[in-house]
Parts: sequence; C-alpha cells; structure tokens
Amino acid sequence: MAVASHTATPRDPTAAYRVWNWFATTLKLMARNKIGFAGFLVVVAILLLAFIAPYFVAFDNTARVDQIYQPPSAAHPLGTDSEGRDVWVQIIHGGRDILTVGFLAAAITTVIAVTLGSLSAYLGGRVDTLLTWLADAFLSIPRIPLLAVLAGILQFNSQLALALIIGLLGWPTLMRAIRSQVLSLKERDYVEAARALDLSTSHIIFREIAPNMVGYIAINFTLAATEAIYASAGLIFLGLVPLSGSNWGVMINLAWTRGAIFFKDSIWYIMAPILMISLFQLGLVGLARSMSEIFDPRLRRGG
Amino acid sequence: MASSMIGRATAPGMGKDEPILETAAAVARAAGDPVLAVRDLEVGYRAARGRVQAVRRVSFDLKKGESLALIGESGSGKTTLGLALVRLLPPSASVTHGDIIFFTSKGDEIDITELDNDALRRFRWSECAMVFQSALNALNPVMRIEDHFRDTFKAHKNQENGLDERKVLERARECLRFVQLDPDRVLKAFPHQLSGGMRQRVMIGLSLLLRPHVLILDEPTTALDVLTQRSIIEVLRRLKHELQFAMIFVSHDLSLAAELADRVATMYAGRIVEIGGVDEMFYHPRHPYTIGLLRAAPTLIGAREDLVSIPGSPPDLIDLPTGCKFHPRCPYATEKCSAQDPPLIDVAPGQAAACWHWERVAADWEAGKVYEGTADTI
Amino acid sequence: MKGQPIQFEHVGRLYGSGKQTVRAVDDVSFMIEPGHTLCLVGESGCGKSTTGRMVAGLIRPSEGRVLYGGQDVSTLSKTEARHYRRAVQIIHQDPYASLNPTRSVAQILTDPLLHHKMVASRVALGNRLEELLQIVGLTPPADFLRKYPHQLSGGQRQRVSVARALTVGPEFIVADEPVSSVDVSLRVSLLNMLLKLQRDQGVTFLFITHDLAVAKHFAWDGRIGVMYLGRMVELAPTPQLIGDPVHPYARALIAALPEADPQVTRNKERLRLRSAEIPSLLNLPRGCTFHPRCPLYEEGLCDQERPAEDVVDLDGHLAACFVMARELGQEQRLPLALRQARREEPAAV
Repeated sequence: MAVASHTATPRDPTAAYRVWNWFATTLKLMARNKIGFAGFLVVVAILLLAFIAPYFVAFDNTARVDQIYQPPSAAHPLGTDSEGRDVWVQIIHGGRDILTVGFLAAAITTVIAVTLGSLSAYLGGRVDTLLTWLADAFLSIPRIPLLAVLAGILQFNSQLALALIIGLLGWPTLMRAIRSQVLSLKERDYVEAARALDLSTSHIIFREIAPNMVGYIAINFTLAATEAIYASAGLIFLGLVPLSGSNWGVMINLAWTRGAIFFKDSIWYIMAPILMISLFQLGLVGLARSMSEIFDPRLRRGG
Repeated sequence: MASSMIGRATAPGMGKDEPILETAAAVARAAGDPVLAVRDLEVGYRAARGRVQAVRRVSFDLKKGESLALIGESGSGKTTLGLALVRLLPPSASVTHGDIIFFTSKGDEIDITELDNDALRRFRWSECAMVFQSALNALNPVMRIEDHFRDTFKAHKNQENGLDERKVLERARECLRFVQLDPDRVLKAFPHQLSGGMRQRVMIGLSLLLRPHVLILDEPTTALDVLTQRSIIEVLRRLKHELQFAMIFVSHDLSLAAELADRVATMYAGRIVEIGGVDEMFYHPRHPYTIGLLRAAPTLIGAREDLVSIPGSPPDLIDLPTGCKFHPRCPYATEKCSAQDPPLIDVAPGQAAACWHWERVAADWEAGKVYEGTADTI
Repeated sequence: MKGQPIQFEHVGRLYGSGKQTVRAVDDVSFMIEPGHTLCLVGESGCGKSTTGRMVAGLIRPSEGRVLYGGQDVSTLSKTEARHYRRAVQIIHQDPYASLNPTRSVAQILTDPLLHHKMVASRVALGNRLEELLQIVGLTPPADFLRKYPHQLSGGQRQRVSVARALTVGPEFIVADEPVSSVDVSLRVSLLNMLLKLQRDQGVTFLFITHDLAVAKHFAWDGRIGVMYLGRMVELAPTPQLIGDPVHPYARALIAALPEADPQVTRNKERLRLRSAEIPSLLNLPRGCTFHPRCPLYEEGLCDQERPAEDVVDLDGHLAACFVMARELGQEQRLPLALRQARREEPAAV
C-alpha cells in the first residue's frame, strides 16, 4: 500500500516476490521456536497424508476374511483389520473427513465468536449483557451429552451437519476471549486517536482493532480445531453418529466393537487411528506456539 | 588499561594469600579507601537482531562514603551496568570481559564475576544491596512487608553479620524508621495498601537490612510524583549523611545527580564519556555530550532559557558508528573523531573526559560560547 | 487554522456511584482563547488527563458545560459536532501505544486524509504526506512513510502522532504529557517543533504535564493551571506563577523541583508539608482538600468550605486559598460565613 507520490524506487517489489517473501519470512519466524516448527512439520505431513496421498493409493474395500488381523508385514505395514482390509490404506483415506470436519467446525466457531465478541465489547451496554449471558448459558451445558442428545434428535447425515453442530456449540469460550481482547484494545491510545480523528466505527473495528488480534485469533482457531476433532472423533467412537465412510473415528469404533484390543496382532488396528489423531493434535498445539511469532509485525519487518 | 589480575596470588617464597602489588585492586587501594573497583567491564547480550554490546570497557572506582551518579539516556548501558554490579543480569546477558572488585568491610577483596552462587547470595544484601526501579514490581503483592524483611534475611544471612531470626523484626523496625515510615503502620501491610512513595521507601529500608556498605539504586525517583520525589531525595540525603555508605545511582535525570551525587559519570553508548566531581561536571564540563545534556535540561530558575536539543537520535547499539560513538551528533567532530574512539583523558584533577578536542570544548564553555553547529533551534 | 475559544464552566466528571463516587474533575472553569496555550500541571490523579479528554470531546462532563465558540457542545448539531470533533485533536504520552503497530506511517497518515476526503488525487495525497512529515521534522519523508512504528524511536513516534493530528487541520491540540517518555536531550526539539506549529499555524494548545520545568519552557507566553485532586488551585500567566506563586500547593511544587545545578538545588529552600499522605479521591477532606498537608492551615477557616477557583484574583492571577486571600487583602472575596467567623475572633491587638 505504498502511497508515495514520487516514482517507485528500484526496491519496490513485484507481487510474486512479495508472496515468496511472505512465505520465507513465515517459515523463518516459525523456525525460531523449535516446538512450533516441529508442530508445523507434523501438521503439514499429516495434511499431505490425509488429502494428497489418497490420490496415489487406491482404496480397497474388499473383505478378505482369510486375512483378518494379520500382523504388520511388507504388504500390510500396519496389518489388517477385522475384515482383512489393509490398515495403512484405511489410515491414508481416513483422515480427510475428520480433519475437514475439524477445520470447518473451527472456522464456524471462530467466525461466530469473533463477530459476537467484537460487537459485545465495542457496543457494550445491553448488547454486551445479553450476549455474555447467552455465552454463559451455552457454557453451562456439558457438550458431549448435549451433542449426544442432538445426535439422537437430528440425524447427522453429512459431515457438514456434524461440523455445523460442533461449530455452533463451541463459540462461547472463544467469544469471551475475543471480547476481553477487544475490551482491552478498545482503550488503546491509537484507537482513541482514531475516534478523535472521527474515523468510522467499521474502520476502527476492522482496521485498528482486528489486525491487532489476528495472532490471537489464529492461535484460538488452531485450538478450536483440536477441540472440534476431539468432539467429532468422540461422537463417532461413541456411535452417536451414523458410521458412514471410513475415517479414523469409525476405525476406532469398529476396532473397539470388534474386539481388536484382545488380539496381539491387531493392536495396530485400534492404535493407528488413535495415534494419528493424537499426533495431529500435538502438531496443532505445537504450531499454536509459533503463531504469535508469525503474526507479530515487529518480527516480520525487521527490528 | 592496567592489569586485570585480581585477588590473591602467591609470590615465590611467600606464604599463601599475599597479594601481588600490581593488581587492579592495589591500584585502587592506593588511591585511598576504595569500596568498589570496576576495570574494563564489558557486558553483552543477545538480541533478536544480533549481539549487543551494552557496556563497553567501563572502569571506575567508588570510595567509601561516596555517591556516584551514572547518568545516561536510552542505550547508554547504565541500567545494564548497575545490574552487572550485583550480577542480576537477565539470562540473555553476560559479562564478557573485565572485573568487578568489592572491598568488604573486613578488607577482603571479592571479584563478583567469579563468585559461586552460595558466595553470591552471602555477598548480596550484606555487602551490597540494590534498590530497583519500579517498587511496585519489585515487591511481592501477596506478601506483607514484614515477610519481605524475613524472607530477605533468610535468603542472605550469614553468621557474620550478627543478626538472628528473632532480631530481624526489630531490625526491620529500625530500617523503616530510618526511612521515615511508621513501622506499626507498614509492617503488617501489603504492598498495594501503600502509596508509591511509601513503597519506594520500603525498598530502601529493605536494602538496609543487613547493613551493606554499598547501595546501588536504579532510577530511584523516576515515575514518582514531584512531592514524593522530594521526600525520597531527602531520605537518601539523610541516609548518606548518617550512615555514610557508598552509593551508586543510575538515572537519566541530571537534577538528581545535582542533588545527591559527589561524583558524576555520564554514559553514552555503553561507555563512560566523562567522569568527575559534581561541581566540575556541572560547572566545568569538558565533553560535548555532558554539555549537550546540561543545555537540554529545562530548569525553573531564571527567565526563559535558550535550550538546545542534541541533534540526531540515540545510538543503535547493534550498528554503532566508527570511532567516537558520539561523533555523528557532535558539533566538534572532525575526521579523527570518526576514526578513533577516544579513551578517558585526564582533563583536571579527578576529572576525565573521552574527547579528542576537550581543550577546545573547555575553552568555548569557559568563554560562554554556545557552539551552535548543527544544533536544533526554532 | 484560527479557531473558536473553548471554555469550561464549572465542569465536573464523576466516576462510580453512591458511596463509591470519585470526582476526577471537580468544578473546573477556564477559558482558552484561540492561538494561546494553557498548561495543566499536577501530580498523578489530579484530573488533568481527564480534563484534557473532555476538552477533546472524548469524554462527556458529568457536571457543568463545555463551550465551543460560546455554544454548549452537548447542544451542537450533527455537522457542528463533527466539526468540533475534528477541530480538537489529541497527542498521547506513550509513544509506544499511540500508533497502531500493524499499520505503516503512510497508512496511519492516509487513513484520515482519505476518510475525510481531504485530498483530491493520489498526487495530492503524496504531496500532503510529504508536507506533514516536513512540518514535524521527519525528513526525508520517503524514508519514514515506509516504516512501521516499531522501527521508529520514541521521539520519532511522537512526531508521527503530531503529523496524524495535523491531518484534519485542527484548531486545537490537547497534548497529554507528550515529552515525558522521550529522552531528555530530545525533548526540547519536540517542544520547539510544537511551538513552531503554534507560531506558524496559530494552533491553540492545552498542554498537560507533571513537569513544571517543561511547562515553563513551552508555555512561557501562556498560562499555567495547577490542579490538585480534581480542582484547579491556581491559574496564572506562566512568569507570574513561576516567579510569584500564591497557592501553598503550587509553592510546594515549585520548591520541590530539583534543579540541574548543584549550588542552587542543594541550597534551595523546600516547603515543608504537614503530611506526606495523599488523600484518596474516595474520601476527600472537608473544606479545602489540601488542608491536611498545608503549612498555612488554619482551623475553622480551611476545613469548612471548599475555596472557589477565584478566591484570590490578582488581575487574572487566580488561586483557591482562603488564607492567602486574607493575606493579600482580598478578604471581601471569602464566603460570608467564613468572613463572619473570622470577625468574631478576638482582635489581635
């Protein structure tokens, strides 16, 4: 957004260079925090596994009853399941749904929380009181039992429905966090100066306050994603959601109900999806540590 | 600078613990009853952008009962120097060179930089105590004042200073009375129940607990209101007069030095650029930076003064200029100044300035000439 | 940019309610003529910042009236109110909090210019940006436009703050401790820049500070108002206030200030106060709020009624002290009750 009236200096970068620079700086900033960087790598690896790998590995759903619960071998790196299907293949194909639900739900939660939190804090008064009461009401209801009940009443037929429900229930905590952030940012001197300069409310919220919350929002988005993944995996495991398709949650459920824990050779059937989910969560949490550094303008543009 | 050998060493044929004469300590002692000798001290720390030299080759002596003011602005290194003297530097900082030698009340010499943790704990507070800048942050909000005293005593006691658990409270009362606080009112209170001025006095009283003979104060009056500031200055003046200990205070406020100091050292970009007695420094300064500070300080006396800012900006410690660090802002700067960093040159008995052109500076000052140069005026 | 006078008429600002009411500002009155300077001086908690914000229209008074050009600001029409808001700008104390860290200097200055359509074209915008940076002494402008606040020093940030305030062509600037967080050697430069602004563009200033020496330097041709616990205790042209202060609190402040001159400061006589305790705003003393600490305290005179701002009025030099009013032969200005109380005392001779 250079606005200088004189001709562009030779240093003015092209768009492509700027994008590349942004990526490079982001990576560099992330690398400063070892755990953050490790988390980042894990997340990227698992995302690749879940979203890209399925195109390269065919999904084989045929049941081969003569090969149930085979131990890990060259042909089946993680063994086979109760119907003789390869566990590793299922792992590859099983991430997509769960992760999509997780991020989608987190996105819904974040959007609702940021909007309500900002409005509540900036407008204050009755609006604030009403919204915080609403948030408190939601918070006081235990989530999993509520989800269970809802699962019984409504039919979660699609991933979208699941994501929607989880997202709609997860906003109160984040909303309160955003609200307190906005309350504090609202008192900053530069916001007061913007008011003195008679800049519009929308400018103040979107240009003065929000950009200073981006890091905070990003971290909370990441953590909301972990919550959503747990929630959906939990629901599936508890059998509250129709078990369509094959994803990690379904794998855990099936493995459990089919007694995979009782066989030494089939331990991977139940452990693999659990480990994948756990690993991904760990990666996300680790990544969250780097988030504040990525979004800090001071670190980005040289001290 | 002279040798950096300290402490004891054996000479051939002598018993152990016989100091060799040419130690820095001996040099200081020869000057008369020193309490602290700093030689060629360098402190650096790791910042995001690179390594920063906060203190570069600082040397000075502190005599018994003397109060020295370290005056400097942002980037001068004064706070780092103060912290280094009691080894309270943050983990990212370290003393990279030089010695800090304390002469204890019994005549021992201790090199601070070489003490182990136990010895350091015994040394701190009983030989040398520190009063921090922000009393609000330095006091534990969930502990009563009397517990602060007890805690400090427990942490730093040693057999030699003649105090035991029971007497701590008595001693605490004594200390509080000395700083003009009512012990009955203050001892049972929590820090937030006291005003800013009272907290600062508690900090000073706390520092006196184990009868140190050197006190280091970091910006003792900054962030205090004018009237409170005045009362703290009076407390310190009284302390100085009655208890006769040596004091180093670090500040950006020249008027504080004018009130309390016997000697003043101005610091710039990590070095002492001028040091001398308080009258010499204020009435016969020899370094352009000291003069710049004097001429930039607004005063109440007299009519509207012709105040002049020092042109330019504070130095970037990672990217320092060559030669004399002050030369980009100095009206007397010549080529020599950008090439060579001047050492402290003796300009008068007891006064030294790090300037190649100090004679010209002196002549101009004494003649009342205000060298405008690139100075900033309306 | 010559503007309208701003006047405070018995303005008060309360916080809290019932037993917990705090009078941050209490019955303050003054008038600032266009192009002039008024300095508000006092220690922390005296209400000077709150007063400044009320002048800028960022806070509304709980009592009294703020008049802009003779008109009560709460009765202004929408257009007039908008004009008033822009006419008065504010500069903050903390250079590290006064600029949005996520926006560059160019963006910070462009926002109001574009928002209020003050420039017709990109070229005009560029010129105006350069002009603003020149006025505040940030040259070469091109270097600074690109930078973000964290890349600037404290003094430079303050200058950007001033430039930002100037974008809307204000008549009046409220400067809240603008140099307190800047290195001493750079303060004068900043102050001189503000003085030049006043000289060249006729900007009126309300300058808030706790440092009397800075107030003296900046407002030598103006007036200083000393505030204590929300009230204005003395108001006078600067040379008179510094040279011949009337109110004991003002005298104590001036006497207490350390000077950068060893002979002077070590021999300066300080005013001894009766108590070092500052009363809490929740529990103000009866009568004159300064009386528990005042060396001139007289029982029966100082602890009954609150002295009005202009109890002492020496040709524009105002002070709120009954004792001094009597000393200076202005006894007729005391409230009736106290005058009578005095007269009933047995004659000295």
